[in-house]
Order: sequence, then structure tokens, then C-alpha cells
Amino acid sequence: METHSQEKKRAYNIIWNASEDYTFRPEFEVFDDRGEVDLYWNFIVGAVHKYYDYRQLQEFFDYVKQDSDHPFYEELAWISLENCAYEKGRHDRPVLEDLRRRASERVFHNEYPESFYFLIDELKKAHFQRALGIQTQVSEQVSSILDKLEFDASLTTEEIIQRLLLIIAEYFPLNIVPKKKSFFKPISLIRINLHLREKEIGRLFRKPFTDVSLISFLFNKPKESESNQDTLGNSAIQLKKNGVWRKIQEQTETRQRETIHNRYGASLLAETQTRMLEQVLCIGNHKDCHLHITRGDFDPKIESEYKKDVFKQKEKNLKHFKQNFASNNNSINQLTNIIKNTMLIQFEPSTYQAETGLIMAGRVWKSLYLDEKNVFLKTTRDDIGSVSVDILLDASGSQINRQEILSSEGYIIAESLKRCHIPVRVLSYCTYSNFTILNLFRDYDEENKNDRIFGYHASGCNRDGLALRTALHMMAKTHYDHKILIVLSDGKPIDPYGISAGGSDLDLNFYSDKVGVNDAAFEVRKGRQSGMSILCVFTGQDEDLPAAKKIYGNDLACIKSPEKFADIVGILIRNELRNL
Amino acid sequence: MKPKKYYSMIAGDKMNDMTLDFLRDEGVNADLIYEITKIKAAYKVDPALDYRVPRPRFPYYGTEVWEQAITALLCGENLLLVSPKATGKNVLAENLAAAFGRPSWDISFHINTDSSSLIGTDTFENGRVIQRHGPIYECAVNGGFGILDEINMAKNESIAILHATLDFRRIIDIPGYNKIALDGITRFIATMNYGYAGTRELNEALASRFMVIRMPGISSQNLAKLLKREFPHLKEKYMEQFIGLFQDLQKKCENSEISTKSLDLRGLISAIHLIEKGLPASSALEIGITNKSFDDFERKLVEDVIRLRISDHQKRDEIFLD
Repeated sequence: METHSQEKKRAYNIIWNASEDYTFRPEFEVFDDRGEVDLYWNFIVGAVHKYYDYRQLQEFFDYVKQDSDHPFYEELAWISLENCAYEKGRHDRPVLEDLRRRASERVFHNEYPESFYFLIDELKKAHFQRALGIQTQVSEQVSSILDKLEFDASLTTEEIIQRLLLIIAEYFPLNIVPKKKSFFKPISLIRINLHLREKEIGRLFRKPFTDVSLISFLFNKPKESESNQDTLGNSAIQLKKNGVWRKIQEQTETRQRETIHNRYGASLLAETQTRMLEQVLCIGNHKDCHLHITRGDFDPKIESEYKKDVFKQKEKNLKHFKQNFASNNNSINQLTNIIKNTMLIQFEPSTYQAETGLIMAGRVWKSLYLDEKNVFLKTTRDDIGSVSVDILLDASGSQINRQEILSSEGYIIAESLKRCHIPVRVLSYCTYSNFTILNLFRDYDEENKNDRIFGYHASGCNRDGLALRTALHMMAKTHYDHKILIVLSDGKPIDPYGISAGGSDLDLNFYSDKVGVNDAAFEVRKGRQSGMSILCVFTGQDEDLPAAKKIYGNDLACIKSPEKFADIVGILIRNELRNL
Repeated sequence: MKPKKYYSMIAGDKMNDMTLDFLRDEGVNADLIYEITKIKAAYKVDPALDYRVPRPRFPYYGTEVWEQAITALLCGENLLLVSPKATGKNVLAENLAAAFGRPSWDISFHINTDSSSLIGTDTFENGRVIQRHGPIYECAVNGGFGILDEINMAKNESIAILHATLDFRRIIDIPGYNKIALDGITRFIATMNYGYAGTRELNEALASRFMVIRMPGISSQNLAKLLKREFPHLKEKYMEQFIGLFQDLQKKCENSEISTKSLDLRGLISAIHLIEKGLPASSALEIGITNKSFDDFERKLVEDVIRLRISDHQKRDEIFLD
């Protein structure tokens, strides 16, 4: 998720404030579920810089980065660093006690984005329960890991790193990518790394970005062999062999689907249908990803912060639209006129001389004396066939501060097309965990449901490639002769879930920047090759424009001011209609 | 702890003089203090102008600055106090007038300040045209301390009339009226805020007529003294937090992350007063500090700094002793 630059700046300011070093460029910033800055955790990041030798810690973080599961190790380290920084900082700032209590409550109420790792969430909860003196009911394993993880604040940076490495070595051996080994220097690290290599077998049950392995590790670990890695590895292999492994995997997936269902609304498709769709679409770069196509209808029985947020945002969207009703209405009229005019010119009847048609009396003589057969006038209407438009709204966290504008823009396009009697379908997309969610606001035949577009709500990441692939797949199934897809996006795909194509190279694995852009661009090219038109209305910041251009080519409209919206989008659609 | 009262009776002076005792406590050179007492004995204040001798609300903390300023004034120099916001320029100017026991005239400079508003202008009274004297004139003849606040806000050309007043000539020559000499103890203390957008440069001719003191920002020890004196019942633990808060904001300003609008010592002290009166800490600091900035994002940054020092729901009883 690309959090808005202002929130990022705010996070930096909190970190600088805590670290008292304004030259420090933090690598970690913490945002909550809604993309807002978290005061306490960002303070902790700064405080760690203040109280400990961050250079050494940076080396540690660089070291664990060599493993594709590095977010797991980083989060693990931050749990223990939180403990140390809090202990040191609370003398300077008594308010920390209160802030920590609140942060704990937020953890208990799941207000932070869920970790990709089930275990991290468990550990965090247990850690804060302990911090507040609440009796914890956690498994013996979580408890024992936590015992080792909650260090005394008096430890030096070096000692903290040593202990962290010991915990990692004991419980979660690293899977190092060899070519990046030159990153780390300390002798102790090398020693542990060598030690790890001997424990090769322990890695067999760990896969990149699957919390399944950690869950299985946690709940199936034989009690009598707590520190014996080999036995653990064997037990994992055993699990695989007897099919329990598969069962755990299925259970996890079902649980994830339930979470997504509760969060984003019931699926439009039955689970088997979704699975079939996934078999077709979630392949290649999007292997192991899942889809969730919904109408955004929430289960009335479930009350969640997210649901409240969605309703609140809907009100905000509507309010914003009404506040600017005059200019929005103007845009709709303008856009409608542009499209109508284009269609009129395009579909104007043309006449030519032919062998059949209306006879032209003045030319009959030519037939007699010159053997000219074309003495008839034929009128034809250019029939380009039926046109459909799909609008795909980027609903990722990066749009969080533009939600009102984006929903209005979506509405304006949909309403204008409706007035020209062009069938429109409006969808929004975002990615949460390894699920890409497509929210269907209105379908082609639902002419009176444009208002539903105001239910637009941004959150999570964006796996543009998969969203485009799914939208194009859905379009391909329709009967229209010409299909246009208009994407409102900032052209910045990002999804930490990654792709498997890059093998063990982290840079190639992470679904963002080059990898994400290339993947989305590939889907766009594929769509165009199959005869569909794909346009983009750019909704990001100027710096992201080159990436969007790379994805969508020249069929990209950049809206500099709201007054120009109708004109620019109009030109884009007109060009497309002319080319049909 | 109760605040220490500074008072003593100086020969020939009926007024309680707390400032000199304060200077002794602060460790200002005793010779300088002795010189001041001599000057005070030599130059009496007209009882009619006694009300003009300031009784400072806040003392100025900073021994080095005190010594520089007193020495310059003793030598007959005029002072220009230059510093960013919230460093106590006016507090020092007022304290200096109080220490010397001189009546003071506060003159705020602005873009339309001209010679007539400073020295005086013709006016009509009882059927006659007479000269109505301006504050500089009054200050000159009555041996007062003229505090020229924000001197750089006026146009340099329009205050060129002061050149002869401020340099060795020590005169005011009013064309068509009179030429008067300054009283022996008349001094001018100009203040100037420098460095934020909208401040003007002082021209050389004017600047050369002053001794310039660049005032440092208030140190944490001095801020502690100030808070202790203002709020004797403030708990030590919270005093540290308020000082920390001010320093956090100072750091943010130095690094240009926020403007100086919210770096407001007056605002902080007023906010603590409101807390003492019973307003919850968060809302007192909001109106005293946060809302000084009119930029939404900046307010958020300031709010974050405050929340990392003082909890939202902190009440008076937790912060004050009684």
C-alpha cells in the first residue's frame, strides 16, 4: 500500500521527534488499518534510534532481508525492540504508559493491518496482554518464544541482536539467498549462519509468504523436542506425507475466505465457481493468489470498524458530490454531449453510387450509352455494432485521500455513458492479504444504480495485473461487439504478497515498481491484442505518471483540474469511438 | 515550593526593587549592579511618571545577556535585540527599564510609522496650533527608556529622522519647531524579529547606531526556572514534560518541519494557566499552542508532538500538586 505522502511525512516527524535526529531516514513507518499514522509505534521506531545503535540494528535488518520472509523477522524484532524502547523511554516521557495501553487495545481490537504471519499477530497480542498484566491464554510455544523475546532494557544493541539471532536460529531458521551474503559482517552472524546450514532440513517446512507453515509449526510441534530442529523438520515432512498438511492448507484458505467475506461482503459467486475462476486467472505471476468478487453487501449481523468506515465514506462521497453538484452536473452534460456528438458524426449515413438503390434519373443515359452500371444511389448507415464500457476504479490505500474525487469521477463517466445509452459496468479493485477484491457497483443493465458508485471505499494494496486480468476476462465473456475498459488508477501497483517468478531474488519477487508495472503493462497489451480498448484516467501524483504511461501507453488522460475533467475524458473516449 | 519574592529598599527610592535582587541571585556581575544603583540615585524619576516604570510580569533568565545589555546601557549605547520568536526580547527590554528604574515608552513600529508618529505633530488646541509630542520626544526629555518594538517593520526612510537621536549627537531637531538634546539617561532598546517570511532587513545606517545582542533561545534550565516561578504547584514530572514539549517544537522549527507559529512560549504558559484553572490539558494546549498554526497538516504535526508528552485526558489534579 502506498500511503499518502503527507501521512508518511507525519510518520517521519514522529520518528524524528522521538529520535531527536532529523537526519535519520527511517526505513520503517507504521500505519493503522485506515492508513493513518500510528503515534505509539512510530515513536518506538524513533526511540530505538535514540537509545540504541541503529547502525548495528540496520545491519541486522539488512541481514534478515536476505530471506524472502524478512517481514516476519522484522516484525519479530520490533516486538522485542518495542519492549526495550518502552522501558527506556517511559522515564523521559511518562505519557508512554498511556500510549502503550492504547496501542495494546488497538492490537486487541485488530485495528492494525493483519500481519501476513498468523504467529506475529498471536505474539503481538500475547505480548501486549502481558504488558497490561492480563492473564494470557496462549499456547506453550507462543509463551516460550515471548519469554525469550521480551528483553531487558539494560541490554546493549549488540546483546539484543545476539539474542534475536539465537531466537531465529532456534525457532525460525533463515533461508538465505547466497548472492547477498556480502551484506553482513559480524562474526557472530557468520557463525550462526553456518550453524543454520547444517539444519537444512528445518527449512523444508517453510515456504515464502505462507503462514501455514508457521501455524503448522506452532501447533504440531512435539512438546518433548522443543529445541530439536531435526525432529521438527521430520515432523513437518511427516505432516506432508500423511496429508494433514494439505488439510491445514485448506483450512487456512477457508478461514481467510471467511475473513475476506466478513470484511468486504459476501461473494457474488459460489465458492466452487470462485475456485474455477482462480484456476483460470490466478496462474503465472499471480499463482497462489485468490479472487473475491462481491457487491459489497455486508452481513448485517457483523459489526466491524471497516464496515462503519465504508458507510462513513459513502456519506462523505455523496456529500462531496452534492457540494460540487453544479460543476459535476456540468461535467456530465459536457461529457454526454461530446460522446453523443462523436456517435452522431460517426454514425451519419453515407451515400455512394452503386448498382442497386435509388435510381438517379439524370444518370440513366450513362447506362444506355456508356454501359455504366452505377446509376443508383445507395445509402448506408455505418453500423459499428454494440459498444460496452467497463469502468475499473483503483480502490487501494494510495487513493485514501482522493476517495470523494474518485467516486465523483466514476459517477460522472458512468452517468454520461448511461445518458448516451451505452451499457456500463463499474467495478473497484483492491488487494487484501493474498486476495484481490473486485467490488461490483453496477452492471450493464442496471441503469438506475449509478448511485451505488458512491459506495466506493479505498483500502489495502493493489495488484493491478490480476485486477486487469479479471476485468478483461469478465469483459471477454460478454456479447458486445466493442468493449472499452476505462481504468481510474494511479498506475502504482504494489502488493507485498509478491510473485514467485523471481525465484529467490527478493527484488524480483516483490510486486511493485518494475515488476508490478511490467505485469500490469503485460495484461494491458494482452487485452488490447484480443481486441479490447483500454483507457486510463490517471489519478495519482505527477511523479507516478511515467509508470502509468508505461502501463497504459498513450491512452492515458491526466486530469490537471476538475473543470477539465469532462473535456479530457471526452477526448479520450471520442478517439476510442472513432477508431472502432 | 513558594516563589521567591525579590524586594529591597534602595536609598532614595520608594519603590520596591525586585529586579536588582533578582540580578544578584542570577549571579550578574556585582560591579554592574552597583553602577546601576549609582545611576538610579543620580537620576530621579518624576513622580508623575512613576506609573511608567515597568513592573515586569516575567523575569528574564540569562546572565550573559544581562551583563552585555547592562554594560552597553551604562556606556550610553542603544540596544538592538535580535532573535527569533519566543526568546524574550520584550521581556528583557522591560526588565532593563525596571532594573534602571526608568519610565518606559513602548513604541510599536509598523509600515506606516513616520516621523510625526514618533516625534510629534502639529495639532489644534484652544484655538492655537501647538505641537503634540510623540513618544520619542517624551522619552528624550524625561530620561526614559524607549522600547522600539519590531523596528524593522517600519520603512527605513521614514525613520531616518531618528539617526541624529540614536547616534553620538543625541538630539532631536524638529524643523520649524525646536532642537532638543536628549536627557543623559535616555536610552533606546529596539527589538527585531529576524528570519521568518515578511521580516525586513534593517539598513546599515540604522543598525550601526545600535549595539546588537543576538538573544539565544531559552535554555531548559531557564525555562524550568520560569515555569517554577510561574507555577509553584506544578509537579516536577510534568514540568519536565512541558519543557520537553517546548524543546521538541523548537527542534521541529529549527529543522523547518513546522513554522514558528506554534513555537509560542506565551501560548505554553497561558495553556498551563488554563490547565491550572481546570481545563483538560489537551484542550488547553490545543488553544494555547496547536491552533496558533492555521495549516491543517502542521497542526497535526504539533498535535503529535503534544500527544507524545501529555496524555489526552490528563486532568489538573494529576499535573498540579494541590
